[in-house]
Amino acid sequence: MSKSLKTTGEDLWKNKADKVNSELFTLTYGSIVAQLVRDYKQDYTQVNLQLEKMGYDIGIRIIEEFLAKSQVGRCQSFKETSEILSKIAFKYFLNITPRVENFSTDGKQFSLILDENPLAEFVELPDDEKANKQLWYSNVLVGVLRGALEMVQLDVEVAFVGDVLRGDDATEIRLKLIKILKDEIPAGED
Amino acid sequence: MTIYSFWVFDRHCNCIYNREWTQVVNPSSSTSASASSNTPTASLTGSINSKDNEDTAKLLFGTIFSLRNISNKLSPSSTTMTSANSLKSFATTNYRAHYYETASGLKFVAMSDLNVKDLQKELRFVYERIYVDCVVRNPLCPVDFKHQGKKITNGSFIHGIDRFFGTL
Repeated sequence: MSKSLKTTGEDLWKNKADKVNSELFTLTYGSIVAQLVRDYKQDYTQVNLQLEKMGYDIGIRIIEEFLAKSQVGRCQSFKETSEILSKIAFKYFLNITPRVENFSTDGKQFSLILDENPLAEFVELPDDEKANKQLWYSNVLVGVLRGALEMVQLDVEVAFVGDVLRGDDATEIRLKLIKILKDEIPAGED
Repeated sequence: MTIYSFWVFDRHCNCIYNREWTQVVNPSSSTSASASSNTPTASLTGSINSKDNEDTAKLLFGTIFSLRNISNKLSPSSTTMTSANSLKSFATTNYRAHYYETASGLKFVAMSDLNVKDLQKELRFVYERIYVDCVVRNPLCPVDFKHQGKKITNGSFIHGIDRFFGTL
């Protein structure tokens, strides 16, 4: 099964994904972050928050694109969600396949380890003592994941727990399933 | 092949788009149990997002919603990757209602005459190529219609829908 997910992801990437020059992409993202840092006068917690908000707005749209192109249906388990995220979604949008690791015993938490991160190529955090403690440079991904998963009825808490830019060993995003949202039902007629 | 009307419902159960194409009105058909779409005042070209459909929209949604739930219940378990026993269409004496739902909870419904057997592919196409292209990829067009009464009013979507169903 995981083999077929991998090939599905690769097929999608090859045949369906619209490609954009990666340098253009990286530099665009970089200048957004830089601008936010300037706008919020080096208040990195605010920057993280704004990036997440932007990501969320991307996420609630990107999911439709993803469902339309990938033709995957609803996942039966959070485990399946993790595999689809890594092998199909990340592959399709960013051409990377993060490793799924550290599944908690209750099956509700896992980490995505990004061995490469197209957003953060060429990036060095500013040397002001604060940035490498507070700024999550790729925080937009957190928002994207949260927004996209919410649209398929998964209420998930997402956060970076490590970033090589800050000198951590790995770039790691932690996902925690809070609950599976119920399909909304129509408001009753009196 | 005749398509009478087309509806989109979002995950908040609101009707976010409806389009009715009025053919030459056949008075006897309006007695049918399903959507009596031919309102006497409707022009020949039909209507878009017309307000007087609110009740019809709610009824239609309710019907679809219940049928969908019962069809889910009918099949004991589902295998991975294929969705459970899902509703595709239902028929009345004069109409057939076709239904397609996405994993994100969008519901597409089309009313056709009885000769149209299956519109799954067409409704999928509407989602993949018209909804995604004209609504999702249009940054100024909202994608979450939380407030009741908000509709898709985007010109390219409306055109896209009309063009597509015109070719059927």
